[in-house]
Amino acid sequence: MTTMVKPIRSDDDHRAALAEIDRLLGAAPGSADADRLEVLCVLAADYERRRQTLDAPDPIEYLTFAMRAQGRSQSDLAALLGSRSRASEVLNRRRHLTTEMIGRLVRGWSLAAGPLSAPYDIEGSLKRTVARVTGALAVTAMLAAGAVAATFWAYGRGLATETEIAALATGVTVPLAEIPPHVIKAFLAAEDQDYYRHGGYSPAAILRAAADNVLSPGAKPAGGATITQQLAKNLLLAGEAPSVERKIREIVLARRLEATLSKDRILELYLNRIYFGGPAWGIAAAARQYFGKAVPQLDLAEGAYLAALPKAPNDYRLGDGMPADALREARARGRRDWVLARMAEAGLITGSAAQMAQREPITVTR
Amino acid sequence: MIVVGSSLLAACIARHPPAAATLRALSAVLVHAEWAGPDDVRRDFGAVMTEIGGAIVLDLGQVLVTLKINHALGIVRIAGAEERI
Repeated sequence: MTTMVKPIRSDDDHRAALAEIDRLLGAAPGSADADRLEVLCVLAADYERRRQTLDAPDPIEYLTFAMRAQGRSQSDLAALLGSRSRASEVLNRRRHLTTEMIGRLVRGWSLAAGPLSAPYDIEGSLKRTVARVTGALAVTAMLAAGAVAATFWAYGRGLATETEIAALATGVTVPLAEIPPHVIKAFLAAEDQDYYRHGGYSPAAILRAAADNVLSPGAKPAGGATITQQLAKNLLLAGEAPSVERKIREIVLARRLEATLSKDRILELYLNRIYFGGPAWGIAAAARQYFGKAVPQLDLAEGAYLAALPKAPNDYRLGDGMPADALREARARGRRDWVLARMAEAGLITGSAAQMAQREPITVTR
Repeated sequence: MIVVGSSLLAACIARHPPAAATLRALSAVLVHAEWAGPDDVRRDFGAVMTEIGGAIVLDLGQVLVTLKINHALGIVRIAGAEERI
């Protein structure tokens, strides 16, 4: 084989490689030129990924582009999805693409499941954001009158005290020191990027919860809980249905957790107690269930997949008796890849490490 | 497919940010493409493509993108990405 090729380390190397690729592009399969072309292309593509990653499109950008390129109309989409209103709502971001819709787009129009499965906002969530901001403004006015303090004081009564929290904070299977740093980083990127900077909750969350309580009593609260709030819910409010009241209790208890335990201890408890789907509670059970491994053996891609799960464990769960389902796998992979991209954006791993991990399949224990 | 020349898309976005969503979506289509031959390319880009010699020019409204493809080896070379003046 005459595939001796220099590594691509600079823009000059890259330009030279592209020139040679252009010269060899018509190479016939099996020829020495084809071997050389393939190696050059892999190296050039890798250099480009390392130098400048193009952000992934959101699913509607991807769908809209594909429709235009294929000459498809909204009526065509309505025919494929079985309803004009469904097509309109999807294109106008008023409803999410479901697994079934993605299946039809993959089978009917040969679109790729991965780009259609990434998380994205719909108009409703934008409206909710506007409502939250409006609510926050109302609460700012309330703050002046001390109403927020009264609200939180009222909800704080009867909840676990700091002494009681210290007694309840047990049950660690895997100490934090035995969890690989890349796994911890994956959870921080996915669930709470400001974990080591906040005091258990974000001020915006307080305003939002108090505003929701005033403006929409009895309504389900918005999500977005910090890791400390999630632990408070799991440890101290298990079994309570979602409500604005529970959200406020979560915030009060999160503050008390932070006053009682160190950040590392809270994170350790969280990782050992969080739900990962099926019978897996805690990261040790999850590592065993999904990969047949002990926690210290988890690699970056596996850690990112586990970090993808707590948001919606049974939506992204693979293997362990679940039927093989290409769309479910694509959705899980999309979420895992989102975690990896977020890690890279936050500077927790390099872009090339994220890209290499994104190329790995999710190989779970069946 | 192995996609080579995506740096041209990134450079085009830097010069002409309104084309970002279109070019990001194009990149995703190329990366996920599994084209066995020209018919598959026509299926995916039929409404916006023109075949000129051995190249394919995509008219994406704000930008023109030129592709060269070796189907047998699964290689897409992005040979040009120019915004309309």
